[in-house]
This record gives sequence, C-alpha cells and structure tokens, in this order.
Amino acid sequence: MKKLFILVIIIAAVGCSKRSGLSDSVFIPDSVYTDLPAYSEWGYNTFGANYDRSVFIYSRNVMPLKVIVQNQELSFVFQGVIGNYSGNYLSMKITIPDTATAKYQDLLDLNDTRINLSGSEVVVEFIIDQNSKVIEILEGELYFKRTQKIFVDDVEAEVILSGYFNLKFIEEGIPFTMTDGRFDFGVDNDNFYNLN
Amino acid sequence: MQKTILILLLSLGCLMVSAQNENNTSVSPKKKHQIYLGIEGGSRSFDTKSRDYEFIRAQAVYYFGYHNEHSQLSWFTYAPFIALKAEYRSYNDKFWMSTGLRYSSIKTIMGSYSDYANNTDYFFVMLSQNQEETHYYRINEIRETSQYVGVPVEIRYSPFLPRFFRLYFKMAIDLNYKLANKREVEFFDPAMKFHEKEIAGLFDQPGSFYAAVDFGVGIQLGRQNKPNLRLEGDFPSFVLTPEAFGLADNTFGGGVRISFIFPLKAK
Repeated sequence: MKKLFILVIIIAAVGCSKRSGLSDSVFIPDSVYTDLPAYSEWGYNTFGANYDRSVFIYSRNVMPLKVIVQNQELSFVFQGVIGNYSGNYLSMKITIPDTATAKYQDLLDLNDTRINLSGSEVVVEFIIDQNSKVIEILEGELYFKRTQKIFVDDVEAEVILSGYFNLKFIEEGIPFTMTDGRFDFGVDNDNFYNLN
Repeated sequence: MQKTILILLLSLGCLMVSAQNENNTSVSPKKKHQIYLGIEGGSRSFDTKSRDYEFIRAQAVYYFGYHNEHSQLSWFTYAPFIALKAEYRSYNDKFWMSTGLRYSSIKTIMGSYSDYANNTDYFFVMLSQNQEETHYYRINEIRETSQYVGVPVEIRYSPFLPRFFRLYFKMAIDLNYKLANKREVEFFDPAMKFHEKEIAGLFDQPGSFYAAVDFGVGIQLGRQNKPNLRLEGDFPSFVLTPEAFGLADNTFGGGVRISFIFPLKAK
C-alpha cells in the first residue's frame, strides 16, 4: 500500500519539477571532495577549491566569474564565498598581460594554457568588501584545460572555460594554501567586460 | 530473466494442476459453462527512473543536501492495452485460468515542465562536440511509443462460492514481442525539427521483448454461467525485462483493468 501511495505521488508529481537555464549554477558534487563541484566542461558556472580546512566556492548570489579586459591586461575575477556561508564573500582577481583579447570569443585561444601565478607579470588580488589587496604568491597555477564555443539551437551562445587552479600565498604574514581548485564557467556578453 | 519467467510459468502450471485436483474432490454448484471468452482493456503505469545520460546537461538547482542532477526532468511511463482472452474455470469455480492475445502500447515521456513563469520548459541535449565547438539543443519533451503483441497467462482465485459479487486474487505473467517503435522529439525551437532523428538516436533503443508479472485483486459482478464484468487492480507489477525500455528504467508499477466475459459453452 505504501508503494502504491508512492507511485501515486510520483505520477502526480509530473510537471512539478524545478528547472533552470544556461546561466544558473549547477552543483554536481565531487566524488572525493564532496563540498566542491566536480570538474566539468558543461559551463555549469561553478568553481571551488580547498582553502586550508575550508573551501573557497562560488555563491548563487553573485556572478561566479567576470572577465575584464583593460589596459592590455586580462583579468579573471572569481567571485564566491569562504566556507560555504553566504555573506562571507571573497573575490579573487587574477590579472595577466594580454593584448589579443577583445571579445569573449577570443578566450578560445586559452585552450590548454597554463598560467604561472607566481610569475612576475601576474597579479593576484583578494577583494573583500570592495577593498582590494595584492597577494604575495609563493607558487600557483591557473590551467585552462579546455575552452569551447557553445551553440544552442545552432546559434552561438557562449564560450566555456574549464580547468583547474591552485596557489600558495602569504596573507598578513601567514601562508595559506588553495588546492584542488576547479572551474567551469560560461562566458558571454553578460560577464565579459572590455573596458578599453 | 528467462529463468525467472520459467519459474513463474511453472508456478502458474502448478496452481492450475492443484486447481484441477481440487476439482476432483470438490462439489461444484453447477458443472456447466466452464469456458468463457472475454475482452479486456486497461492501463499500467510504472515507477519510471531516469537514466544517467551523459549528453543531457544537468540543471539541478543546488541547496544543501539536495544533489539531484536532473531535478528539472520528469519521466513518466504508461501502457494502455486491450486483449481477447479465453478462460477456463475449475469445476468448483474457484480457479480461473486464462490466456489470449494482447495488444499493448507502452508510452514513455520525458520532459521539462515549468509551473513558474520565469523558468524554462526545456532541457539541453548535447548532440555533437569537437575540440572547439559543442552543440546543444533545447528539448521540451521526448516521447516514445512501443507497440507490442503479447500472450498473457493468468490465474485467478476466488475463495468464495459463486455469487453475484465475488472478490478474487490474481497472479499473471505476460510475454510481449515488440511490433513497432516510434520516438518523437519536441524542440523548444520548432525550426530545429530537422535534428529530430539525430537527437532521438542518442538515447538507448528499446529491446524487442517485454515481460512482466502481475499480482492483483479484483471484483467480479455477475452470476455463474452468465456474462460477467470484472474490475481489477494490478499491484504490484514487476518488469522482468528492464532492457525493454529505451528512454528510462521501469522496474515496477501498477494498473487497472476492466473486462467483460461471457460463457462460451456448457458441459
């Protein structure tokens, strides 16, 4: 009888599902680090990394990635929270020298590109409460494993950037580690800003 | 699976033999009209489970403790059927064995249905991918209809003596062969209809054989040796051939049926 009741509920539930579009974040948990999103290449608009014994992860309330082109520099701003708690916001801005990117489609050139975050021309900043401070990087890498152009119903929709990141840095004299970072972003005109 | 079917058929056979043995020792109220013909119609519904299709973009909305990748998708399977059957009744009219020919149509629907004005009524299916480009298509619904011809083997048992209103129990197995299969894709953008065959081909193809075992209870209205009307509920129904379904997994379900039977000849 209980199974019959469940069956009736299942049948009645048709049409009562929740759904979202391409721009929302889709969390598929990692099989090992279950607090982090699994690595994906679908443009799920997520990122996450272990941050000491906590996590630095995307938040549903802010755009997880903004790409900014300005003054021959290309910046990737990872916007999320520390520790999965809404309100504890942190933005990590990684800026690299660049002269080739003018529109979001140009990001396809980053396919299989590794960026040494401790390089002299790379600047990593943490932004908390609109206060920015440059972080001293001991070692780190931003790896664009795959870039791809997405077509929806045969119309170009966005570029997807998927990859990994990790870094060791010093903040206020104390070293920290951000490991196992992964990201999967969709970039289009909504989160790509050419400020030149 | 074949072993399971064999065991079930043997069980049904044993029940029939036991019913016949009972015939030899019981006193039947009327030893007439032991063969009936009938027509029945009904429908089954299944507890349909989604399959892990890697080409469907997940769209789950995350909140703590909830990680369903395809929460936006609904899956539903139902199977209307009609059958012509012959029934043989034991002398004491407590065991009714029947078989016949059944036509059934199994329909599976998967789709995204929005109750909210701001939400989408579609899901994304990835059709093709190369190093630089990936092509998604927005799909409202995919419908699959498989048509089968089958042979039901059923035994019913009523613990009560013949009367106008009789409660009975049923155990049955039906074996079906697929005649035809049709899969339709409803695109969010109807102009994408020309991709229908490619999208439909991404999903698993249904098997050619479908078998299920039913347990049920019903009521029969009508006198002995007269036309009877039956209302029957099937629950549970167990699918013995999960590979029979292309779009989704169906393991068990339930259904209702109504049948009209009339006596064929007197002994």
